[in-house]
Amino acid sequence: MLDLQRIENDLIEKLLHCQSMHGLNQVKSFFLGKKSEIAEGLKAIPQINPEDRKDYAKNLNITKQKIENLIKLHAQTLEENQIANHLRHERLDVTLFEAHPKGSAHLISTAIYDVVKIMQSMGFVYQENVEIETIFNNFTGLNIPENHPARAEQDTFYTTDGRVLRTHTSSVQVHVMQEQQPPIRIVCPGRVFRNDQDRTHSPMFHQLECLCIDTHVNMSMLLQTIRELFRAFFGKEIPIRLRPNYFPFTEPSAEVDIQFEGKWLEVLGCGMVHPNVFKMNGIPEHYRGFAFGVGIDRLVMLRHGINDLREIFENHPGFLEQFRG
Amino acid sequence: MRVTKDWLSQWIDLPENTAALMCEYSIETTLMHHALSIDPNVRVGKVLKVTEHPNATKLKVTSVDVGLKQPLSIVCGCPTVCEGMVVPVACEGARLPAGVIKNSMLRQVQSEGMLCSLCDLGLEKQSSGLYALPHTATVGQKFADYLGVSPELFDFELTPNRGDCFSVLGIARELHAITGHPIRFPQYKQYPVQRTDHQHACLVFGQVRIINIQPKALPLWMTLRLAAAGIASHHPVVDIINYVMLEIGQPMHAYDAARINGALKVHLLNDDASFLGLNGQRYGLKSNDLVVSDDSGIQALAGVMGADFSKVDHSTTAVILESAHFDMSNVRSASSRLHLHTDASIRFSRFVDPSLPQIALQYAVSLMVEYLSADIDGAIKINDFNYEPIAVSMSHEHLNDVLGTSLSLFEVQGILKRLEIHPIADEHYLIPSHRSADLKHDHDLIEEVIRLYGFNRLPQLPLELKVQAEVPHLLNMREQVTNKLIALGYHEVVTYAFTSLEQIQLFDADLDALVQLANPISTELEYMRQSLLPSILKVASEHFRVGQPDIKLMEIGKRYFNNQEILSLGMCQVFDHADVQKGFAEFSKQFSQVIKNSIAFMQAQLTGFHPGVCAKLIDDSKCLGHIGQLHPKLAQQMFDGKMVMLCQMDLVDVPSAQQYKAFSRFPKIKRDVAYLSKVDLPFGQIREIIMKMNVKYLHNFQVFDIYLLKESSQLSIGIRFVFSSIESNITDEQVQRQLFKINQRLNEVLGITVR
Repeated sequence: MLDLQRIENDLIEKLLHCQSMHGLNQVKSFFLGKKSEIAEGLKAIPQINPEDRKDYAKNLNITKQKIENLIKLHAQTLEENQIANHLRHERLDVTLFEAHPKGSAHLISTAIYDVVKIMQSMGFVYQENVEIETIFNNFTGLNIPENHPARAEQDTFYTTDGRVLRTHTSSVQVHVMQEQQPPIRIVCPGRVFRNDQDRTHSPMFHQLECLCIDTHVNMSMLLQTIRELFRAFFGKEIPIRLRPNYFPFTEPSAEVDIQFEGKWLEVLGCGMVHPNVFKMNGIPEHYRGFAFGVGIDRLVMLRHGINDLREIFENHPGFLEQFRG
Repeated sequence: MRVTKDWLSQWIDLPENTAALMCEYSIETTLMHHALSIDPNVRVGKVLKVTEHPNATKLKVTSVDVGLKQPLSIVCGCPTVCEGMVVPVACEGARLPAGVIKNSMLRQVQSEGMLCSLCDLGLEKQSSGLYALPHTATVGQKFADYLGVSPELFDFELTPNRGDCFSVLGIARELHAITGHPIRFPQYKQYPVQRTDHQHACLVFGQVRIINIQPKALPLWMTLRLAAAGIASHHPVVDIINYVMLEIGQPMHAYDAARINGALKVHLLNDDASFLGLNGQRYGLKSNDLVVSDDSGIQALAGVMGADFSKVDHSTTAVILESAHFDMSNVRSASSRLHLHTDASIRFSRFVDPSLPQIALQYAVSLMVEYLSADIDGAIKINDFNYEPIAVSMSHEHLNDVLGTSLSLFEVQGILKRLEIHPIADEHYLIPSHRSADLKHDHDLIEEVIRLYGFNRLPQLPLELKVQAEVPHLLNMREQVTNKLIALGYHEVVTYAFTSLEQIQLFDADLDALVQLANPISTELEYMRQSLLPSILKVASEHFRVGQPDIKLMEIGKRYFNNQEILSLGMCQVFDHADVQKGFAEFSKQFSQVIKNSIAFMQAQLTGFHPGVCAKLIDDSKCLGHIGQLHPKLAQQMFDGKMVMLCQMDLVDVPSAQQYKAFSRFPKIKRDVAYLSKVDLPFGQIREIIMKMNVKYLHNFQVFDIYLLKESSQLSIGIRFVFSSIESNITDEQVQRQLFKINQRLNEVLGITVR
């Protein structure tokens, strides 16, 4: 009779010392191979007397099953150990990783995209525009007639062919009114130019014009629109205040200041479109409109805490690199 | 316009926060200390005793009462000092233009201050001696208080529409509208008035002859107020009319009576004329300029400047004062054409109240009589003028509609009344003469109401949402292109739109289409750029100079021609190696991220580029820009010879929604073919021929290998063709047939053989 318990014990003893697949194969053939005790035992089944045969075969098969399981289990362990062992040698210094240096969008561009998107969400449509303007579009059509003191105030660049570099994005109002029918809602960013250069003035800077013409718009809606714009742009409620000011193309006109670090700063001029502007550019009398022009460079300075406007146009690598995407 | 605080407060009681109130409801106002302010440590002092200095012959030792327990001992070098004299005394700590006064020993004698001249106090350029005060002055009083001139002044940022605010009176009116405080008008004597005929060329013309003018100094408070306002002292007569102008807003002119020949006439010039202004400059006047003439010629460019010939000087003993209402448009056109902006012309260009000329004459005469002991010769001569108040209609409903408010009629009329605008029947309002130029329509009145009601009290009314169709536009495209390039390490820059001719000529330029500025900041910034590349390169070379690694810059901006503006992309990369093949491959690969697939490179030679490494960017036979290596000569100048790649491309086509096309669901078949070609054959030609053939089943093709065969000096070009069909599987035979056609065509046209 086979001592099945001993065979099991022998196997466990062998497995304890078996550290390789090769060894395991040897163990496997020793315990389960053709010449193994189990195989011999199976062959001997017919010789067992009939009353014991059933139990004998059953026990033998249970043991065989156990042996197979143990070997399979050990094989798995060995394989896992082998992989673990292998991976231990494959170690990579992942801390070498650094994010691929991205470039940066210019702060002015980012601000323009942001403001345009905010205004688009309020139903304003982006408007293409030109920077070299006729005197009519920049002045006359905006109710600034020849010799008007407001013309002299603007330090205008004139071209030798009798045009001007637009002094404000408001000139786009003239184009829009002449080419489109109300209701109109446009947003138009771009470069503007004034012959002036110091710490807070650059001969080239950026404005964004919004114009809304409809039958029933009013000054309160204008103010609310501006509030929404600043809230969205700065990501929080920003204290704003309005002051009277004069723009020939709007009436009533107001200047909007926003509070920043305890100080009030001028960022925007606005008002209800002056009836003369409507008249000159073919908008029927029963319409009303509001318009505002915001200084993009100012908004950028405020949002990012920049004190010197000139740095925005200096393109110094130290400046650009700070605002990587 | 600058006005000292004391001056304004003489007209109206000032609230604590005058400047803030003005900003909120009227015009931008700043309260500041002025340069002429007198230190509070300067006091009125009385010289009690004068003794010789024991150690210096030119110095005196004085004992001065400045209201303290003990008189001060002060060493003084002025020979005019005498006992009993009352003078301004700078005591210890006083800050004077020359420095801070300290107690010190002067030649072993204690000196506890300084007796002052006006020059010492910074109030005049040169003084002849100590400033002697009348004996009635209160000893010990602060000298600034004695003068009545406050150390603070208001700076009013006047807008062009509010000519009426260009005076102390005008500001007082605004403050009255804001606070309701009453206005105090100065008291002055009334002189007889003689009515004259109306002069056709101007609405009101008044004059008066003043005689027996004594060469007296004006009171210090008056000259100080003028000086603080930025008006230099010229002559007592001129100073007085300037004072009146600042105070009530009417510009006047004084002619030396001895130089005026006959009656003064206002008229439009018939012919061009030359005019020598009292500033010594000669001006070319044009016909239709408005002038004031006497029998001998032009004595003033009306409302702008008087003539040199009849100007007042120190020999003048009699003057003719002119006070008139000149037409705004006459003054505007002359002063802007001649670039001659005077205190008078600035006011007339904006608007001067037509009811002022007579008041101004009365006031000026009384001041001249009082301070210059002058006499009026006869009467004030002025034509009759009565302002007929304009009635402006304003519907109350319309006002609330435009503002989005619900103001009551009572509130509206209350605000307007404080502006001296009174309601008459049927929603009509009468406008006072001082606002007759800027309040003509209902919108003008609406502005007045809302500003004084307070813009910040406007209710919050949301704009009704109206979503409009948003078509794709260049700004979207610009953002997308920028974002792609940022991901590749590019920094976006923003550079000036103007540049120099020299910079423009670095690259191919269309000189006939140049836009030139008539008034540039400098010749460096005289032309509008035609290319983005010079300015990007300039930034890049600055980056290079400060040792910046990995320079990759881009800009999207306009290029300017006399007939169009083109939005373009410019890119530039500075390389650390000189392998052109590798460099161009890397650069063009980055560039390919942002361009349409249909763009082809066509070998070209362009100014500024390496003659052998440059291509035009062709899309549908249109040239959209160029790409290549910076000319080594320029690279040497700007980048120490480093290899630089650059490109510029116009952003013209806005991509529209892409349309669906049927596509192949069958396996693709790849075939690699090696060809032999001449060394100098650009691949672009091969590509063009194959493209034009419209080969059936050909999905795409590209070069996968290219090298020079040394033995035959031929180029081996490996092309991978990919075939597919929408309808069915394609057979090897079908592919072979197409390849055969391609090979045959290439051989025919370019002499290329299959290797």
